Amino acid sequence: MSLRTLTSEQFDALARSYLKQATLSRRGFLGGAAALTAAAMLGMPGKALAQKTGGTLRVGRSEEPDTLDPHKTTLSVSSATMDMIYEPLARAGYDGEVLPGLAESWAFSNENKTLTFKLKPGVKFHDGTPCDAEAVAWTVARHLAPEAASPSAFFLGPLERAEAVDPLTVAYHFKEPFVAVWVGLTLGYSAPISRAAVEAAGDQFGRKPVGAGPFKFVSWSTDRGMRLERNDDYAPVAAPARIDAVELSHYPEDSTRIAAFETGEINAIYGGSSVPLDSVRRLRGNPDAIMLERPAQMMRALVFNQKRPPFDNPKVRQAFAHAIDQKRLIAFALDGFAVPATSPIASSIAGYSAKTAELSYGYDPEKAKALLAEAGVDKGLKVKLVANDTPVIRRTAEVVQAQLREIGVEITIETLPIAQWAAITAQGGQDMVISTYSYTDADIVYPVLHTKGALNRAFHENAELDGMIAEQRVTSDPAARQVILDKIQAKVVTEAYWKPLFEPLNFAVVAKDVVDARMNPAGELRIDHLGMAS
Amino acid sequence: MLRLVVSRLLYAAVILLGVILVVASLVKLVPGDPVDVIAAGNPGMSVQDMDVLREKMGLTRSVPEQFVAYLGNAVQGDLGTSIRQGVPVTSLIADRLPATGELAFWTLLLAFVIAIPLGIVTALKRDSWIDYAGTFVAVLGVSMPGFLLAVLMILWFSIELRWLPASGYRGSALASIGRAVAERDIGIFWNAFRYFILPSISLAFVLVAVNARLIRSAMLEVLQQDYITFATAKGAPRLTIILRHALRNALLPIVTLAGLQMGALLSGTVVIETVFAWPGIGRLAVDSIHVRDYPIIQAVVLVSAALFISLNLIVDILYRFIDPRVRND
Repeated sequence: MSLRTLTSEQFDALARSYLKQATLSRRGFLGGAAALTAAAMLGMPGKALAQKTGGTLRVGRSEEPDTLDPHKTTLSVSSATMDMIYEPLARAGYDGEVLPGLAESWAFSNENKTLTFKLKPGVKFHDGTPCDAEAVAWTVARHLAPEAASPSAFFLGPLERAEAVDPLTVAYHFKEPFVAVWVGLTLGYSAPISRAAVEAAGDQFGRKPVGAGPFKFVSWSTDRGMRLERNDDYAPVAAPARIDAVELSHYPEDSTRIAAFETGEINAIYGGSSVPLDSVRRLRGNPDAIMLERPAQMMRALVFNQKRPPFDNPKVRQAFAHAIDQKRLIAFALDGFAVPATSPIASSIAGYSAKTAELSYGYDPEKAKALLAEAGVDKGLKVKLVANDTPVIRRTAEVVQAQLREIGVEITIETLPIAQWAAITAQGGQDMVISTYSYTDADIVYPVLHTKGALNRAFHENAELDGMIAEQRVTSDPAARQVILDKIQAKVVTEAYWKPLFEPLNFAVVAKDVVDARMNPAGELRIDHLGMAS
Repeated sequence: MLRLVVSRLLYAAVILLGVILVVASLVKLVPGDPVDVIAAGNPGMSVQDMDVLREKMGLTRSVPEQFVAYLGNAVQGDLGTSIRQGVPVTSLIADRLPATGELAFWTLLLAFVIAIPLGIVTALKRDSWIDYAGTFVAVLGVSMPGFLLAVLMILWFSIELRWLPASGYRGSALASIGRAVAERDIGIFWNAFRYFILPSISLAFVLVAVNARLIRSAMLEVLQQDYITFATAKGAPRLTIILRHALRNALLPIVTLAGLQMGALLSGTVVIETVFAWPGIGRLAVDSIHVRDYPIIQAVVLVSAALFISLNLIVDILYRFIDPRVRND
C-alpha cells in the first residue's frame, strides 16, 4: 500500500489522526484528578470569548526561550511562546483536532504530495505588512535554505517548496506524501514571519520577532523577562485575546517560582515541568489557586539492550518486568502523580492498545526469581542502568534499583546530562536505559522501536517487528492500522522489549481571578482564550 | 612598571591560548553534541535529519580545523555565533556580565564591610566571648551552603515578611544612583538595589566568615611586631595604632584575597544565580553546557580566564603602591 494511492480524503483523515487525542477513557485513573481536569476543561470559553476583560497574565516558567526565531530553535518553551506571537496555517484544538489558523481551508492533491491552502483575507503582520501567500512562501524558503541550517526544518518533513499561487492561495509541494504534516504545521515553528522585520533586524530577529499571532512582541530583556501585548488587529484571523498583555518570566529554581506565585508576583505557572511535583499537594490546598491537570502524551520506560547478554533471553527481560511494582514506583518517585503505563504507546495517544493491560507482566517477585533461575542468572547478576539526570528520572532509577535488589539483581546507575545520555546510549554500551519521549501519534513506535529509529535503544534484530512498524505508517484505514498497532504493542509487551513504567501528568496553576484557562495536550494554556476577572 | 605590565600581558596571551585549546578539546571529548540534544527531545527527527543538521551546523569538521578557524576569528574579537540562539556570543556575554559583575561588587563590599571590623575586634579581644562568637559565626559561615541560606531567607524575608523580592534582577543599582541623586528620589535606587540584597548576603556569608578569620590572624601577627610595641611606647593613640600601624599592614594579604574572590565571583556563581533567577554569566555557561552550545561555553571560559588574569595583574600593580618592599624588588 502506498500513501500516494490514497484518496485525498483518506489521506486527510490519516494526517489529522496524527494529532487526534484519545479521550480520557482509561481505567478511571486518579479519580479526583480526572474529575478536576474534566471540570476545568468544561470551563467553556465559547460564549465568553468575545468580551474583553483586560488585565495582564504574569507567567513564571522553569525555562527561558533561547530565541524566538522559529527557524533557529527546537526548545519547547520557545515553541510555546512563538505560538502566541506567530499565526500558523492551522492550529491544534484542545483535543488535537486540526482547526483553521491563518488558512481557512485546505486540500491535498497530486497523489497527496501537494497541500493547497486558502488563506484568510486581510491579515497583517504586527508591523502592518500583509501576511499573504507571498509571505508564507518566503518564510518557507528561508526555513529550508541550506545556509539557514535550521534545526526545526524537520518539522516540515519532505517539503520541497511553497508556491504563492495567488495572493490568498499557497501550495506546499512535498517530495512524497507526509503524514505527520499537521504536527509541524500547527506550531509556531512553521508560521509565516514578517520579511520586512527579518531584513531590518538581521540575526537579531529572534529577539525582535514579528508575526501575525494573537499577541505582539513588545520587549525581552535579561532583567525583566518578556512582554507581549494583545494584537488588536487579529480579527481577520479570529477573535482578539481578552487580556491586555502577557509577561513571561524565567525562574529556574522550583522553590523560587512557587514563592513568586504565592507572593502574587506571578499569577500563572505552566509549561514543561514548571509546576514541580512536590508542590502539587500544597498548591491544591491553596484557596487562591486553580490547578489544571491532564495526562501528558509522554512515556517513561525501562528499555533492555538485547545486544547485551543476558537480555537477549526473553525470560530475563520478563523477570525484570515482574520485579517492578509500578504503584510503589509512582508513589515514591512521583508522589503519586502519574499513570502506570502498560504499552510502549502512551494511553493518551490514539492507537494505544487497551489489551496490553492484561498482557503486561505484573508485580510478582517470586515469579521473577524463578524466571531468573530458569535462565541460569539468579546468582549475582550485575546490570548497568543509564538514565538522564533530571530529578524525576533519577529518583525513578533509584526506585528501580531498590526493587530489582529484591530479586537479587544488583544495579549500577549512571546518570548523565541529556546530551551525553543520548550520544552514549545510542552506542549501546549499557544494559538498560530509562527511555523517555513526548509525542502525539502512535507512529512514535518508529523512532523508538524500529531498528532504523533515531531513539531505538532496544537494539533488537526482529524483522517482523520492523515490518509491522513500517506498515502502520502507510495504513490509512484507522481500524486496519489499529490491528497492526495492537500486534506491535502485544509483541513488545509479551516479549518484554520494554517495561513501560509510567505516563506523567501535565500540571498548570493559575490564580483564582484567571478564568477559562484550559490546557492543551502539550500542557500549554491558550493565553488568547482566557480572561481575568476584575 | 611598564616592563611588568608588558611581560604579564605576554604571559596572559599564552595562558589564554592554552585555555582555548583545553576547552576546545574538552568539549569535543565529552560525548553528545547539539544535534543529540535536539533529537532527544524531538522524536519526529530521523537519523537522516540528524546527519543533515550536523553537516549544516559544521559539526562534522575536525577538531584542529575548528580550532584554527576559532582562533582566527577570536583574534579579531569574533567569538562566534551561538549554535542554539543564532546570535553573536559577544552580545550574549555583554548582556549577562554586568548582572554578575555588580552582584560580585555588592557581595565583596558587604563581605569586607562586615569582615574587617569583625576581624579587628576578634583579634583585639582574643579569647574573650566576642572572639568565640566570631569563631562560631565563621564555622557557621563555612559550613552552611549558600543555597540553603538563600532559600531560608526567601521563605522568611520574601514570603513571610514580604520585605524583599524572592528573585529577579531589575537593572544596575550603581547606574541608578546618578538618576536617584538627580531626581532626589532614593526610591529609584532602592527599586534596583533591593533585588541585590538577598543574593549578596547569600554569597557574602561564607566570605565574611573566611575573611574575618584571616584578618584576625593577620592582625594578631602584626600586633606582635616590634613597631607596634614601639608605637605604643612612644604614646601613640590606641586607635591610630590599630588603624594606621596594624590594620594597614594586616590588610596586605587581604588585597590578594579580594582579587581572588572577585575573580571567583565574576566567573559566575551558578547555584545562587539559579536560586534567585539571576541572569548572570554562570547560568549562561551551565545552560550552554546542557545543550552543547560550544561557542558560548568557549567564550564564557575565555572571558572568565581573561578577567581572572586581569584582576591578578591589578592586584600585583596595587601591591607596588601599598607595599614599598615589593616596589624595590
